[in-house]
Amino acid sequence: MTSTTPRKRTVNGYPLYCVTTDRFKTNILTVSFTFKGDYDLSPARSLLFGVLKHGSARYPSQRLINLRLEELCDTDLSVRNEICGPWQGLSVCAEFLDAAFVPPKTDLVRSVVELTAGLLYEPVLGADGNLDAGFVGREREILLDALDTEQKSPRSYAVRRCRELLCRRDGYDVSALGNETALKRPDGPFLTDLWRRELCLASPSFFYVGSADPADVAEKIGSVFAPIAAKRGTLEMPPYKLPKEIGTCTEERNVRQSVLALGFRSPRTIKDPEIFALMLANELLGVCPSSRLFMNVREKYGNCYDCTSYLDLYAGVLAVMAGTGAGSVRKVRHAIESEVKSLAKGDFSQTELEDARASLLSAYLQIGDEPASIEAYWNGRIRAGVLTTVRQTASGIRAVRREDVVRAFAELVPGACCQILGREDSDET
Amino acid sequence: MRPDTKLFESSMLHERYEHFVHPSGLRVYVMPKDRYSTYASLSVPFGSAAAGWRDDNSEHRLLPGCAHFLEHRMFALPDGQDAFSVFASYGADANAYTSFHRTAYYFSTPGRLEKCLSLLFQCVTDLRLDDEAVENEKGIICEEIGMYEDSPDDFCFSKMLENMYESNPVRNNICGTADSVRRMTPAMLREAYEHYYRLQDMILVICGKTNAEEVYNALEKISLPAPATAKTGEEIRVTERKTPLCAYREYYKQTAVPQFAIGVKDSLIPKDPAERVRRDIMMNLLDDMLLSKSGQWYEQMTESGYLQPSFSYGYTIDGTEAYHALTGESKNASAVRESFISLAQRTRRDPPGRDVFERCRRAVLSDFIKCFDSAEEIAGELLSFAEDGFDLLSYPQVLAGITYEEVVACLDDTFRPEQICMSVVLPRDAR
Repeated sequence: MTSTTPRKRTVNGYPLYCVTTDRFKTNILTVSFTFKGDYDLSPARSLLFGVLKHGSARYPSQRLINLRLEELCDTDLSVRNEICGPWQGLSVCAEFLDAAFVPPKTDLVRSVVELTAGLLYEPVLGADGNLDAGFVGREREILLDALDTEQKSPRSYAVRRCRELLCRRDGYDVSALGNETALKRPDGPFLTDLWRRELCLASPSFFYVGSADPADVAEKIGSVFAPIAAKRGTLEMPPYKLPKEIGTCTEERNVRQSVLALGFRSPRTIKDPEIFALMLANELLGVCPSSRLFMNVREKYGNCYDCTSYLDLYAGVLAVMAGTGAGSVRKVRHAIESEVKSLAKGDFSQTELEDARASLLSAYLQIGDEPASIEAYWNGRIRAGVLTTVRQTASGIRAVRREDVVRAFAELVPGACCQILGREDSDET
Repeated sequence: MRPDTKLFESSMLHERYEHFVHPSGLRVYVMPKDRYSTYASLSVPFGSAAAGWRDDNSEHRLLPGCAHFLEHRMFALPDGQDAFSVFASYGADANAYTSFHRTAYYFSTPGRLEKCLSLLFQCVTDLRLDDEAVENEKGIICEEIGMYEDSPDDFCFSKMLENMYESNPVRNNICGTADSVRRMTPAMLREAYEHYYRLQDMILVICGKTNAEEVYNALEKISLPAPATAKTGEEIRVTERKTPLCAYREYYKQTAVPQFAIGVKDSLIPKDPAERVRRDIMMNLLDDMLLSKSGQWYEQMTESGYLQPSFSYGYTIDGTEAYHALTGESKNASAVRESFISLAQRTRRDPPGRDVFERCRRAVLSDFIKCFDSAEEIAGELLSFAEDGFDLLSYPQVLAGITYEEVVACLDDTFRPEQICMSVVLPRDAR
């Protein structure tokens, strides 16, 4: 298997991670910033990044940027805004054709670096010296609509409420969208100040997957991204307390299907050597096709289409999500809790464990098959400063013993239950 | 002995694949790739748009959702075991989907291709149905239907098709309705299975760390049955009106921003698969020339606040249906529709220039090249082209052969107001 492990270089004081491979037709270059999650500031940062993507001094409208991207052999450029445990990650990610598939003398790496830097550091400013008021207004509307959509969608709402009930403002339940006030409050001057004070002084990190010579990539980045004077220290993961009681939330909605979200907290995060046991526990509970939730809740009872679990490695949060009829919510909740309890007692066969292990290993080892998967794997790990390679992760998973999985389940503390009750007879038109 | 294998290659794309027909009648396509895992997809030409068939004296009409129901039951094994567990024990991730015209079963495996193929064919060649399992599955499928109905964009798109087509079964939800699912019986499912699940009608596409030799040897070990006798009876075909059934309809759901789906019905569906592929490319190019995010129309619509960034568009063509679809969120969906109709009228008088055409064509080619990084996407594209008997790797040549004049001429028979229908999902509190 070709290595998926990046080599680190430093460019003007910034880290550049390169995975050099000619196996793909697409290259990826990501410029990332990491900030501490903040209940008020994170939505403002979301707004700021949204504004920046509307245009730069050289390409002062979304249309001109899109035209430029088409000229660059239809390069995809996306702004990503992710909450990763206690951090907010903001990045600009470009996916572009490898040099082998573009016309001669086309230098997409350089063009993409220049376009990205222009968006970040040369925004469109109004006559008052602040970020373009039109862009700010439009982006605010987009984010307010996104927030409204999050609130009205039973699934996304249940996920958010479950997280809030579980973490109780310990820094691990920051939302990128926040609330209406947090999105309405920052005006043009505030956002311009945030851009100058925070983004322009922040140290970005770069990640590249593709066939270009890393020295060449570094030279192109270095020629555009100037060194900065101020440097920030490493961000820490703040400690958190395990829940003492289960926070609950039950709401009725005029929808067909009810949604159930159960949240559990573990003392283990990605920084913990025992995280591999928790990863395997999650796979066994509700990820792999032979998982307990799939086999014993969905297939046995026949009143769920989806019943899966999800592990946030950066926050020690394990959540279970199920969609079912309003009359079955209690039964499904009981079934899920019973599965977790029985697994914590070690009530699972070696075959089940090995099936889950095989499934999890396969998922990790396939990361090297697509450039976007390689980038996604490293994105959060670089942010957390945990540079565990795919091979090391696979070795860690192979080394997990049965008792480790039992302990991982036993350490899970239930802390949240969010039920969005639908009406079976919800009208459609 | 391995049957004749045909090799398809493209030096421009740096890609090649092999094709052979197995003695069972199964058509096999293999694209070797330098990857850790191997992705395989077995396609059965039975989708939700199949209405049923007629034989000597009787008509066998299918209930909506029949193909999808069968897909759900296909992973049951003889001893009551679930095939998902066995796939998992091989480290393979397996799943399936049903579309209008096919059901596909697929897996991704890091190295146990032979075992996974054996298991996959065990599932699809030996259907296990019993009353209890079928009853249990009904609850699961009804919840799946409920999940999609609660998704405003999925709901809006399905209603657009319902408004566009009067008789074509693509107007029905792929999963069927709660009522049709509850009426399904093991006998109905068995009858449909025996009619549609024939190896000589299926296509196997494999992409990844393997080659045709290895795949052929694996299939030989499975001992696939000999080709079945030819299908009896004739598929029930429906005649469809040229214009949409209903031009505009509103629905109310729990949603934040109104959702819209504009459909433009295309009734000129070439019978020749090669011509269908050309029409597909031309119409998609036309869409890009008018609607892309680098165009003036999109800029005006977003700056005026009528369109949200979620806007998307595309053209679909298959054996029985063809349409353009424009979907997204808008606080003034009617204005989007009116503006789109005006755009089409203006464009007919004053089409975009050759420079726009060339730029869009280059973008389409770039997108096509990018899809070769994903085994799943390659398999999907290879399958679509193979179903039409078309070589995937010849796509760049076909694209290069399409002229500006041909694309502009498409405006004569598309984007006419009488071809357009629209569904809008409004927030319940707006009622």
